[in-house]
Amino acid sequence: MDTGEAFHPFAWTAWLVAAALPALSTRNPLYLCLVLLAAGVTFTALSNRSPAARSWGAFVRLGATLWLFTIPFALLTAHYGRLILFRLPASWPVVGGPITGEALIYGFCSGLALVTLLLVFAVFNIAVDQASLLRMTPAFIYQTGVVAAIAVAFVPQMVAAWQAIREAQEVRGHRLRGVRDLLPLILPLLVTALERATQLAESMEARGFGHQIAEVSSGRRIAGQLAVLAGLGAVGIGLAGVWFWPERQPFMSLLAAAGAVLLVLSFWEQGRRVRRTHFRRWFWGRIDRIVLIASVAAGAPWLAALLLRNELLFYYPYPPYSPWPSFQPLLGLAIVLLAIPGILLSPATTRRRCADERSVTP
Amino acid sequence: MSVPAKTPTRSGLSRYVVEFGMKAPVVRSPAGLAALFLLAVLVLPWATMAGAQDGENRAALVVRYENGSVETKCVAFSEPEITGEELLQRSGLTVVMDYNALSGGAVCSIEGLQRPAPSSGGCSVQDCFCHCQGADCQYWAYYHWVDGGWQYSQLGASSYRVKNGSLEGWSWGPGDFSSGTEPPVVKFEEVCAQALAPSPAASSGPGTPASWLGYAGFALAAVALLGAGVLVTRRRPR
Repeated sequence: MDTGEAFHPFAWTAWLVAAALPALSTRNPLYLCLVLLAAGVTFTALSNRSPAARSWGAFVRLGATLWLFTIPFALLTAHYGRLILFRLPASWPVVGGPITGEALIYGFCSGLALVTLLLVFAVFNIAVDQASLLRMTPAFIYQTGVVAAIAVAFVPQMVAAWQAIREAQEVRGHRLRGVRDLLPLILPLLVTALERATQLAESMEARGFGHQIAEVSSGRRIAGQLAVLAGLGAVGIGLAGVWFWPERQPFMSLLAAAGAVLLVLSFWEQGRRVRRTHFRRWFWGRIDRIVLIASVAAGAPWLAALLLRNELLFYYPYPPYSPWPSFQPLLGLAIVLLAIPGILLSPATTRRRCADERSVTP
Repeated sequence: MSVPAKTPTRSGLSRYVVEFGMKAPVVRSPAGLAALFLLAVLVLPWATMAGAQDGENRAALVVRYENGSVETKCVAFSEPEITGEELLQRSGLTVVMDYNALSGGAVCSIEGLQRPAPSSGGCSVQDCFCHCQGADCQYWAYYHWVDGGWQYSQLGASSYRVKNGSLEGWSWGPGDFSSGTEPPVVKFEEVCAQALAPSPAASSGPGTPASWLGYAGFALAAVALLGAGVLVTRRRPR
């Protein structure tokens, strides 16, 4: 199925980072509602273009289910607040005591942050299709990305095969009475899966997929793996040391930074060995630049607030704080900028990729 | 033989919620909804009145701050038992508690908002144990007066039940997860012979927001986004 994007996938990634920042950094319901509205505008614009937006309903339902967990949890375990709704008998072990409105608000806002994050990722999922995601993966984990993409593509095929096998067995008079009756269903499924995997492997081999990694001596390979191990260990020890031995903080942060540099270098060196050729180039045009600038303008104030003025993002309804949320106009304006990709997307925008219509599966 | 029809793919829980919500007769009719709303509005002012503060049961509270100063409060309550956190709240001190952790509330600061330096009262709720990093750990430790001595509390403030005649202590100082800094020795009669702690004014509600200008900005931004949504919807090819 061909969706195509009007914007460069890197521009969409910048939009995703800018839209996910508010959801990750605050529980203030005003900001989160604005992010939801901006994501909704973008989703509406995307659904104009492609019928692939059917999965949105599943994400919304999943989000609504999250509230079923966060609100009762907060209501029943936090008995603290000035706005008391009703009282449960105090003799009940965990849930006894006053049930307060502030706990309800807090549970709602926690769920709202999760739902916002989920829906922002859902919009990104609709905007960037699977093949583009795979192409965006860095070179050194490219093989893992291919495996993940194949697995994700196989799941609906296996679900369809399972249903077909069940129908075929029912027609033959098979009844599901116990666990042992599952065997006539699972065995054909396994065989089908193995057959399809072998077919796919053979076809990929015939297209030259196995020979992307340049051969190097085993010594160099082991050195690369040891470098990754050493880098991870240095980062871990450095981060733990910053916390545990505050008096040696400069040395520990230096260790963590050195470990990070070592990791980056070894990943880059491993990535250089992967040979990938792209015969359909992505086109970076003026409109992609506008989307990128809008995303950076939307994300920069939030990053600054997160690092420098964290108290602006603080929202805690319990006493002695107030359940009325605060609102900074600058941060609100930053969120409004997130709707720009949706406005710029018009159904008439032609796809800017290569003239080839069909996308090629990896 | 009939082929099983394809049911719409909906997870069991969400299907239950949707069907239950749609089928409840009260929720379905608009009159029912309006009646529910009116009921909530009428009940809420009654519900916000806090429970009776005066009563025949008394408990004493001893708080020791970082600089060694000690504050004592006597709290009266009418229920047979209250939790340690309710004792703190009814004493009139400004207490900040964190409910993020799964194990009930954790006391981040006592009177920490009034005092200028954050270290003398505690931590803010964003990092409840900000002075407990690594080896050097200072926090609010909970003690009960048991058999003539202070005993470190095995339960949190939300779980422990305070009875008539209890003496509870909160003390800021270095410690770890099994011990802290003990409060000074104070007798129950010394604390509760004096006048009772003035019951905190039955607050009528959460109060008003700090500034309405910010909310005007929010309304503006929301209207702008809704307008963008309408614009995008109109562009949909018919």
